Amino acid sequence: MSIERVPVPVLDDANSRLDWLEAQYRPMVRFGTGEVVIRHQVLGASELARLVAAGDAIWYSEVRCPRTMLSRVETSTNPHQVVRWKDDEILGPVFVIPGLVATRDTEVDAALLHPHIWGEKGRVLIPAGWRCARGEVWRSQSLTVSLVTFIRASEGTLAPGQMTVTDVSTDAPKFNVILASDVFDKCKTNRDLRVAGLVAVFARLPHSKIADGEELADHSLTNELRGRLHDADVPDWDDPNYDPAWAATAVEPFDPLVVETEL
Amino acid sequence: MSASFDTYVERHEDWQRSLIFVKKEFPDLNAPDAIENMREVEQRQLALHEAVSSGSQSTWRYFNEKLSINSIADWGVEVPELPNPLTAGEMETSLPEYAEQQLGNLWADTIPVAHAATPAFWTLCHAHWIGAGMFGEHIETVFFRNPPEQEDKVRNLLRRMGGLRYVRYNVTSFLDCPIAKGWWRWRFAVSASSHAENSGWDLSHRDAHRVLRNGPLWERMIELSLKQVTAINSAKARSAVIAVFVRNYDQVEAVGGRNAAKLSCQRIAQLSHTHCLEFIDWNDLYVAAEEALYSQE
Repeated sequence: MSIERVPVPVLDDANSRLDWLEAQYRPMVRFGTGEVVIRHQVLGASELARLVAAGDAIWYSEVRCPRTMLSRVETSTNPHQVVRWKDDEILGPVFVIPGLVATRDTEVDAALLHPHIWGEKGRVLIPAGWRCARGEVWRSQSLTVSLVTFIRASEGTLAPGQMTVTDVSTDAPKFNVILASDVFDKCKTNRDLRVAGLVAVFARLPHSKIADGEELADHSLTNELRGRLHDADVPDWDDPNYDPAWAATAVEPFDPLVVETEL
Repeated sequence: MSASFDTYVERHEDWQRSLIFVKKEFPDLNAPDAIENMREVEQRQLALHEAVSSGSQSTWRYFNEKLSINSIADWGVEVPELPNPLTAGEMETSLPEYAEQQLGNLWADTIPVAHAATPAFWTLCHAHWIGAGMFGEHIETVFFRNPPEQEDKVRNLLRRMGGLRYVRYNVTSFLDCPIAKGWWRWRFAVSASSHAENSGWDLSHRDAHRVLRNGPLWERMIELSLKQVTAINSAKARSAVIAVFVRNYDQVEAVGGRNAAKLSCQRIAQLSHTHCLEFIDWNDLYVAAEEALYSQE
């Protein structure tokens, strides 16, 4: 017996529209002391709601703490989920991956799926264990916040609209993204400006202290970053195929809804 | 972890840093600040060296003075009892198989994982055991391991007493300290065995443990679990991988322990991109990990 590698639709929280035409998975995750509260929400995919109602799928939250090698999955039929942990099983940041999983082999109507890919099929088989909806990895402390600080440029040092990056790593990887005043003011409300800053930081990684053989190559933050890229199947900074833009947007994607509106 | 224990952990990390000279931090080793730092570190290393070379009680006093470990009662932390003294011969890179099993069984439910992953906790334990004479009087033979350079002796001691996170990062307690490593290894073996049993497989604790004592395999599994493929920390998935190694040990040896760990763990990680591992049949996980082990042929 082995797990067949057949195409199965996925609804991710980047709402890629490759599988589900109109659907969105919008989990809300809030960390508290010793717990995380998750509110799962799927819009425009009545078939997934049907699977939950029939007991063919269930909401899940996967909690991971790499330093203690904790990995636990908790499930709920209620979209409002609370997952708790004990103090003595956690060390350092906690990661949560929310989603909807098929509890047994089932199927969905292909009518709501992309017609070019799924239209001919009528019904699509979903194997047990498949992540029908999949959220991004949420971190109890943002990886980006740990890695990057956005700073307003001193008067007269940068012309309007300009940005520079400084590697300020000492005993941990750390970069300052210095923005001209006009850009810095917009940075707080415009997430994509922050992503642009992150791309610039990622361009520095291959020549920074986290590169292979350098002193922070094995730092916990470096390892988390490498793990995130590995999980997303994106080459890291030690790989000859490294692409800073791809890597940065794998960690912190542009908001697809904003991009579509502007296009 | 409790606040006072957290304070101790910070103090422990500062103390370790004060004992290590990191050449990379000084672009010019002949610069005055580098020379001054080196001299101060050497003096601190010498004080440690003298205490350790003078026997168990002076070593205990040294640790108590530097880390106030006598205040443990206030920290809500318990030092597990070491049932028998351990000789320098038993405290090699790894403890003997029987000792890992004995300590693993004895401390199965007494050490919280957050402590067991912390070098400061194990240092605290070792200092108490040293004070109780559990390693005899030749502490330097057990922990320094006799390299020629003082810096290397100190690093050996810090690693072997619990781990040196400042240099070796989060893997250190799992790889560098014989007693901590043994505790984790037995814990993995017991967990693997119980998950396999739930799926109708007969995987003994001892067989699982024996496979995990393959040094390169253990090292790579830990590196992957902590750094790259945290999906493998699913106890169910890890159990399937360990069962594959037990049933296919000839192949593990043929491809090498490090490679075997990489092949099977990465296959499980790939599966976790699309599947929630807890909902996959254990036997399917086993087959996936086994296929990966033979994938290079």
